Amino acid sequence: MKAKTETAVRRHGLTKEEKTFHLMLLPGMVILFIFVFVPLVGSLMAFQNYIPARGLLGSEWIGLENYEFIFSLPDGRQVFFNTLIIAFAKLVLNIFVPVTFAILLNEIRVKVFKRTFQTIVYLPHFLSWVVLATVVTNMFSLGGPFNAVISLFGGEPIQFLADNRWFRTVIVGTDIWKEFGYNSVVYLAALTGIDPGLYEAASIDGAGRFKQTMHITVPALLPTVVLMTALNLGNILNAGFDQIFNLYNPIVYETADIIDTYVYRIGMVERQYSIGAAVGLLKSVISFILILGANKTAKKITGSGIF
Amino acid sequence: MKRKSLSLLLAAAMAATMLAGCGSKDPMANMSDEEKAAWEAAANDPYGKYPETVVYTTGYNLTNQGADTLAGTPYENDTPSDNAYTRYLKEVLNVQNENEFEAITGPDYDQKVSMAIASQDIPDIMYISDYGTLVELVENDLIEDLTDVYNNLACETVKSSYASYGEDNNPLNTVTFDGRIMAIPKTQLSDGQDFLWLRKDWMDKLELEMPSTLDEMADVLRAFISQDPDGNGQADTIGLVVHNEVYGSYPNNTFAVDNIFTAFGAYPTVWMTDESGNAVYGSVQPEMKDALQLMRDWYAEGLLDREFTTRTYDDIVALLSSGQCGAYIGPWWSPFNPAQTSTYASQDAEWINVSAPTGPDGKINAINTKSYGGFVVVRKGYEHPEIAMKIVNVNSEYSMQDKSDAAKEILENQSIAYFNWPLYCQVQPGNNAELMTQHVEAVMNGSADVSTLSTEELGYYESAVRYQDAEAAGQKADSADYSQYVSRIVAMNRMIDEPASFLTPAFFETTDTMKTRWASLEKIEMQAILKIIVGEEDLDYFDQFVSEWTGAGGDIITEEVNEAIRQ
Repeated sequence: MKAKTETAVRRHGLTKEEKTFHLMLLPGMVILFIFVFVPLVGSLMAFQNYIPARGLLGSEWIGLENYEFIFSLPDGRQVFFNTLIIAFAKLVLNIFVPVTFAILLNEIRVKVFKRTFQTIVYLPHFLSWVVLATVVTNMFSLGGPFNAVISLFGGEPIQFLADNRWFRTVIVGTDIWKEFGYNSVVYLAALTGIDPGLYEAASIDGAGRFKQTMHITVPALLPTVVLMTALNLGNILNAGFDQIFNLYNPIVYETADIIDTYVYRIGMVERQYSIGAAVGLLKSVISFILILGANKTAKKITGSGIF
Repeated sequence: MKRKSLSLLLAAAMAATMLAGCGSKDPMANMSDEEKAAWEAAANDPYGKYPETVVYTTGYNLTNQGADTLAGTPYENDTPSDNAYTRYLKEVLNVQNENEFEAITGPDYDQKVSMAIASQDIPDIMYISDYGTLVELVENDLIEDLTDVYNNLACETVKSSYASYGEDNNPLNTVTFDGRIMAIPKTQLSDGQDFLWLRKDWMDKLELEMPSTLDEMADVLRAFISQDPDGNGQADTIGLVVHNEVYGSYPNNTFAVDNIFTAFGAYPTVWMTDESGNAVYGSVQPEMKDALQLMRDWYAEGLLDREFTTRTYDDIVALLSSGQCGAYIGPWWSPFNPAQTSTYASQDAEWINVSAPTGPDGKINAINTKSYGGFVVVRKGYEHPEIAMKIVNVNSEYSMQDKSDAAKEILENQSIAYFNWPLYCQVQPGNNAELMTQHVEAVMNGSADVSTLSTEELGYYESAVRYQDAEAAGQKADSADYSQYVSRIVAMNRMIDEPASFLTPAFFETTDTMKTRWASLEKIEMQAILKIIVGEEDLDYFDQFVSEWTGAGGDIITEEVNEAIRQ
C-alpha cells in the first residue's frame, strides 16, 4: 500500500521530503537570482555609451564601438600579454608545486612533523595582499634579506620590485609561496585515498620509493590534477588584482600592468562605466569558453568532468 | 545653438516666475494682493522670511564623525531634518528640508547623487561634489539656470569671496555655461605653496645654513646623508624622500616634489598658457628636461631616496618617524602628519618649513589650486530656486554676524559637527587660513581681545597657548597642540612673510578624449619620468616620450582643452 501511494504522489509532483529540500534551496536560488542573474542585465552597458543621467534604457546604443576602442588602445596588447604570462605561470606552478609538496609531505612518517609543517605552510593563505605587500616590499628592498644574501656573495644589489626583469618573477614566486600550502590540501586528501595494497604489491615486485611514486602516486593523482586545472583555467585572465595593485609602481608598468589594474585606472579614475563593463564581459566570455573546453578535454582524458 | 536658444527660453521662463514672485500658479490664484506681495518680497530679499514654511527636498551630507559625538549633548535627539542648522534656517528664512537621501560626505554621498540622477529623480536642491556631474546635469537639461537668482540675491560676503580668487580663478567661471550661471559653487580654500620641511635639530648639530636655492638645498641633503645627523655612527640616513608619483595634485600630495620642477619653470601635470596664449601640457614642455637632469644627478648621488619608486606613502611616513630621514616637501599643514608628531614626542625633533627650492626670483614657484570644491544645483522647474542662494547667504554671512541664541546653537554644533548646513556649501575668501592666523596672532601679541575670535579661531588660539606654556615649562606639549601651533602659527607665518609666485592653470577639468585616453597617457608619462630619474634611460629619452605622448592622443586632448577654454 505504502509503496503504491508513494509512486502515485511522485507522478503528481514532489514528495513531502523533496518539497522540504526544495524549500531549503529556495533562499539560495533567490540570492543567486538577485545577485547573479539580475546584474547580468547591466552587461548591456558594454554596448552603450552609458550615461548615468539617462539610465540603461535611455543611453545611446553604439554596438561594438567600446570593443573597437579597447583593441585600439596603444597598451592594450601589452596589458593582455602581461595578464596571460603572469596568470599562466601562476596556473602551472600552482599545480606543480602543491602536488610535489603533497607527495613529499606524504613521505614524512613522523606525524608531529607532518602536521606542524602542513599548518605552517597554510598560514600565508589567510593573510590579505594588503598586509603581505608590506612584507614582500621589505623582503625585496635594498636592505632586505634577499639583497643581503646577494651582497654576501659579492653581487650588486637589485631593486626587485622596480626592475622589469624581475618583477613578474617576484609576483609569481610570492603568489606560489602564499598559496601552495593551501592548494596542497586537495592533493593530500587524494593521496589518502590510494589503496595501500598497490604499494605493497609494488614493493614485493621490487619497486623502490621513487618508482612507487612515479607509477602509483602520480597516476592516482592525475584525475585530481586535471580537474583542478580545468577549474582554474577559468581564471586565466585573472592575474591577481590585489597582489599586483599593492606591489606595482609606474616604473614596472610594462611588465606588471594587467587587464584588471588597467581597467581600474580607466574605470575608477575616469569613470568609464561602459568600457569597464565591456572588458568585464569579454573576460567572462573567454573564461566561459575555456572552462567548457577544459571540461570536455578532462572528460576525454580521465573519463570524468565537472559537469 | 540649440543649447543657447534653450537657455534663452529658460531665462525668459525664469524672469516670468521672478515677476510672479512665488512660482507655483495655483496657490497664487487664490492669494490676496497682500499675500502675493509678501511672498514676492521674501523671494527678492537675500534674507527674506517666507510667510509660510516652504518645504524643499534635498540630499543631506553627514560629516563622518559618527553619531556618538552627539550623545550626552542637548542635541542627541537631533535628526538630519531637525537639528541646529535646520531649525536656524527655519527661523531665519522659514524653509524646511525634507531629505530624499542622507549619506556620509564623500563617496557615499556621491553615490546617492549618482543614483538620484540615474533614476531621473533629483531633489529640489542638492549639493554635488564634482564637475563631471555638473556638466552631465547641464547637458541633459536637468537643472535650473541660477543667473538671476545669483545677481539678485547673492550677499556681499559671497560676492567678495568669489572675487578674492582673482579674475582667472573665480569659481563662478566654472559654473558658467553659455554665459549663464548654472550652480552656486562652494569655495575651496587655497593651501598656498608647499615648503621644504627640515629637521632643525639636525641642521643645528651639523651647523648648516638655511637653504634657499637648489644648490643650497643639495648641500643640506648632502650633509644629511654623509655627516651622520642622527649620531648612531652609521651612514643610514636618507636624503630627500620622494612620493612615487613624483609630482601632481599640488599641494595636497605630501612628499611630491613639484617645487623642484617649478624652480626650473616646469609645471608638470598642469595645463598652462604659453607665450602665444595657447594652453599646453606642462609635463611635455622643454623646461622639464632641466629639472629631470637635476633629479637624475641627485638620484645618482643618493640625495634622493634610492628606493622611492617602490615606497608607499606609509613607508615614507615610517622612514621619517623612525628618524632615518629629515627632509621632505609638504604643505603648511604637514605638522599634522605622524612623521612630525611622532618624532616631536620621541626624538626631540624640531621641524621647520623653509622656502626652498626657490626659482630665479628668490621665491618658490607655486601653483594655484581649484577655487571650487563642489556645487549647489536646483532641479529644473522648481518653484523656489532662490532658496538655494538664500541658504548659502545665511551660512556664509548672516549666521557669522548673528549673536542671537539660535546662532549660538550653531556655534556649539560646530565642534560636534555631526550635522552640517543643509546644502553643505559655505563660501569663504580664498586666503581664509591666513586671515585666521592673523586674527589669532593679534590676540597672542595683545593687540586684540579674545572676544574678537570666532569659535574656530578660539580653538587654535587655545592650542597655541597650551603649546607655548608646555614648552616654556620644559615639557613636551600634547601632539595635537604641537600640530596646531607649528602649522597655524609657525608655518602660516612663513607663508605670509615669504609669498610665492603663483601660476594659475589654464584648465582644471577633463575633456571627452581625456576620459578614455588619460589613463594611457599618464602611464606613458610616469614610466618615462621615473626611468629618466633612476637612470634607466638617457635624458634624451624625454624627447621620445614627448612624441609618444603626442601620438597617443596628447595632441587631440591639447586641442580639446584649448577648445574648451575658448568656449
